Amino acid sequence: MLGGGAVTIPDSIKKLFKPVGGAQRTSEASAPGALRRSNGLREFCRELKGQEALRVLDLGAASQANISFFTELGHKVYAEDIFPVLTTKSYRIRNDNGDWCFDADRFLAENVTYQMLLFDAVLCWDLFDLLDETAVRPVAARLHRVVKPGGILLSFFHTAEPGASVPIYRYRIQGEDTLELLPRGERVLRRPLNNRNIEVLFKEFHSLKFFLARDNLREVLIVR
Amino acid sequence: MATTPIERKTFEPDREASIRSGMAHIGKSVLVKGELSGSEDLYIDGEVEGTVELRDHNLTVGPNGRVRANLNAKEITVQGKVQGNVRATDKIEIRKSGSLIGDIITARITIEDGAYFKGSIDIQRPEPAGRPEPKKSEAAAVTPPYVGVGIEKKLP
Repeated sequence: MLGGGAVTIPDSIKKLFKPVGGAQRTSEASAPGALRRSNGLREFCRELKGQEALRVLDLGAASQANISFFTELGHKVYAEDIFPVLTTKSYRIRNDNGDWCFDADRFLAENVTYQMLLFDAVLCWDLFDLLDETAVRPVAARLHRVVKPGGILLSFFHTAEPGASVPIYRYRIQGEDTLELLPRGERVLRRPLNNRNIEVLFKEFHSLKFFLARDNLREVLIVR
Repeated sequence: MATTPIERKTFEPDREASIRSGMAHIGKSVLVKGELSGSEDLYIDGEVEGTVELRDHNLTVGPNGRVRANLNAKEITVQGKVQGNVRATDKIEIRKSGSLIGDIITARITIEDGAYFKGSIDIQRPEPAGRPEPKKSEAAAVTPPYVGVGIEKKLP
């Protein structure tokens, strides 16, 4: 029979309920996100190590965790979140045949508009999976123009089948190799890019390094 | 005699706080164009174009505030829309309803989830504190929970 007094839970039982990863939550955290180990991020951070006053561009959701992570290392952070732009603004125009298409020219005139050779590092996250087909190559070319030689990009690519709904995340850096993934919507994957497609997309860059994971997210570190 | 507790709903706590404290207030129907400066805290819930210079005082852009101006204050809180370069000697806070497009120079920054920010952030602390030790990577101590294979390919 159970008594009415306080029940002491043995430490061995408590351990079973310890959060996965055990990472400390930041003050901005409002809801827990899944923690994910990222070898791509680890390599990204390794490349930046020992350098100061770098310019880092984050093309994901504005995140205090990410900003604090880089500013505490003495870098300057630039932020530009493309996802709300793609979901709230209409870039659809009619082409010469009268069909609706994506106005890549206007998109590029309004977004990622930086001067040449400005950045040392860029966090693209899953930007390329969100873009319309017609904007993918121009955005890669734009990044080539704004990243310094030797500069790095970290990009994620979903590997699900075309037509599958893939989650879109806010990526919060929780450590040099740990990301917190907070869902911010879903999108239908129109064109999963395989390794060869990615190589072709970044053919103007110096090198690519692929990181394969068990989940459906391929990480790529691109060196300009 | 039975009493019923009065339930008070506060939808705009900052606005109410500003009224209570006698903070200067620009209401949501007000449009100001030009140079705004002062030596007291200011709450903007209207529209401002130009510059705002408060130096040692705090500035709050309320949820209805639309500011197209360069801002300079001690602490700046953004709940509405701001377009312009922002300098806060102490702290900048962008709330989840807030949107800021411009370059930021500040000592501290807080960005809530859902806030929109486009621009650069330059952290300038008033006293040159020693740089924190870079955190030791846990990679060596922790085995990755997934197969992480690095394939490097040099492009021709």
